[in-house]
Amino acid sequence: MKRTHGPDLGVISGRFVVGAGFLGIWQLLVSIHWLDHFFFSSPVDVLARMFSLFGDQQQHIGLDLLTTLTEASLSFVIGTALGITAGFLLGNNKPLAEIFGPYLQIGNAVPRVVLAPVFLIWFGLGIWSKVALGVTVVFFIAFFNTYQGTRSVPVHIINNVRMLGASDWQVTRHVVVPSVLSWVFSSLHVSVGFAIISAVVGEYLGASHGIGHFISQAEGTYSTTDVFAGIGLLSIVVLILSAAIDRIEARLVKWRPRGTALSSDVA
Amino acid sequence: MKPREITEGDASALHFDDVELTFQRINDNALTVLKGLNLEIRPGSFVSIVGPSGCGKTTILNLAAGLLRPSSGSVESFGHTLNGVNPRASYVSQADALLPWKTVAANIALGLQLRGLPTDECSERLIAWLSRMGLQGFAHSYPGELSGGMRKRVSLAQAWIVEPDLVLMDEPFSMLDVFTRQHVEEEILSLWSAQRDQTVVFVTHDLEEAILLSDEVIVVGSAPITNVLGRFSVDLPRPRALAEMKADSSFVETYRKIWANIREEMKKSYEANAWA
Repeated sequence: MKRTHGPDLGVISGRFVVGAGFLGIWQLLVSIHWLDHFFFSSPVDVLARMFSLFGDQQQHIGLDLLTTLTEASLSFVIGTALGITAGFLLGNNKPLAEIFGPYLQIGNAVPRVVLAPVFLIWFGLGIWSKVALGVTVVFFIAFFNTYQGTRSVPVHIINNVRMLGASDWQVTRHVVVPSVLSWVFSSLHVSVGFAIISAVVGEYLGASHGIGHFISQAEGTYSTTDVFAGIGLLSIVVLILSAAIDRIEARLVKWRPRGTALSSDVA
Repeated sequence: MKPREITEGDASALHFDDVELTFQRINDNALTVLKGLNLEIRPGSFVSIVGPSGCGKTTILNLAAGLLRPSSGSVESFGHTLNGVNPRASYVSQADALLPWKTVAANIALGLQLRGLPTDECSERLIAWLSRMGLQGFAHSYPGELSGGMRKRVSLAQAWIVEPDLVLMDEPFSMLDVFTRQHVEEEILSLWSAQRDQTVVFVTHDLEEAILLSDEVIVVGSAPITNVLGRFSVDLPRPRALAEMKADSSFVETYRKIWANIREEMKKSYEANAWA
């Protein structure tokens, strides 16, 4: 296995050039008034606003971030737990899988965004309407990966372990669980991303706190700088989470999974 | 480890009685691989099964392992009719059946772990097998990090470490390079001849290898295997030095004799099939 070294100097400088070039051109176009500052703000202002937001008494950006993260984590944890449980149940029970299969397909085909208003009515403006939305998204990702995982446990490995004297329970422990977990882990990235998206979309449609709410407020006052600052903060959070998942995955799936994650299509 | 029962010494290690095996395929054409096969393998012998590819050699091993059940007839091992996996057999299959999420060491020791052997005995045997297979530096690697030949050596160690009464091997050495192959073959052979109470059945398409290693060469024809084409005992003295053996006149003579017979039998079998 190739150890994953960091990217080399050429790649790093290349990335820097692309990033700096993009921001530089944006800044330049705004400065020479080819782009209207009202509509496009400017990178310098956005960056400054991202810092100043934390000191702004009018805004509660810390609380907003915390709210979004709480919603995303809750929907991630609840959705993954439900999805794995359902995936295991249906993966090991054919009649059950045949009965529920079509309904799960239908469920997954529903664009989850349209459910947001319904959850808003049911659970109110607080975090739970966003958690519910996130759960409906994350559930299917975890479910389909777990289900696929239980279905694709390699038969020849099971046979081999049985020849070595394994009982049913030992087969489950040494073969089925690790095999399924490798599928589940490879879907965590996708799940975390969608958990955050769902939280933000939910907040955007109606909330009293959260990054989505902040962005929607900024939009209401035509404050492009605030909109971009909100987007920037959100991106940083997602990048941090993504890196954390990378670390966890590398530790838990040291042997490297063969299967790639199935991401359910989310509208 | 279960004690070896000498009392069962007279029961065949494997006994196929009028075995038929038919696979039901998706397009409704049943595929008969074995038909009316009788086969007897006595305990303590090193037997190889040789035949053209696709003829059902692997199927015979799968039946012996208890992974397949005969459509009719019965398979007995050490006096017990198989009903589920053969508890006294280890199987080195052709497929890469290592557990990718376990290290080389954990893979090799798996059989001992499953049997609940004390850890110190496990590690003692593990170390012996790692060095026997030339895998000392790779104990903590994962199978995905190894070459095909190394994975095969891990599989061999995994199957042999539990000291089974019957070892089934499906082309175990074909993945190895010539040097490693000779070394591994000699290790396996010396291990087996030290005790002579294990039965080894292995499938190969390499007649030379079959003769060099085994006491008896069983030749089967093309599918469906209705019966063995011939059984040839190999009377080469043991212990055998494999490299020198190939030049030995008794080896060359045995090889010629078996090959002449095979050619004859093959011809008959092809003609019979052509007119059938």
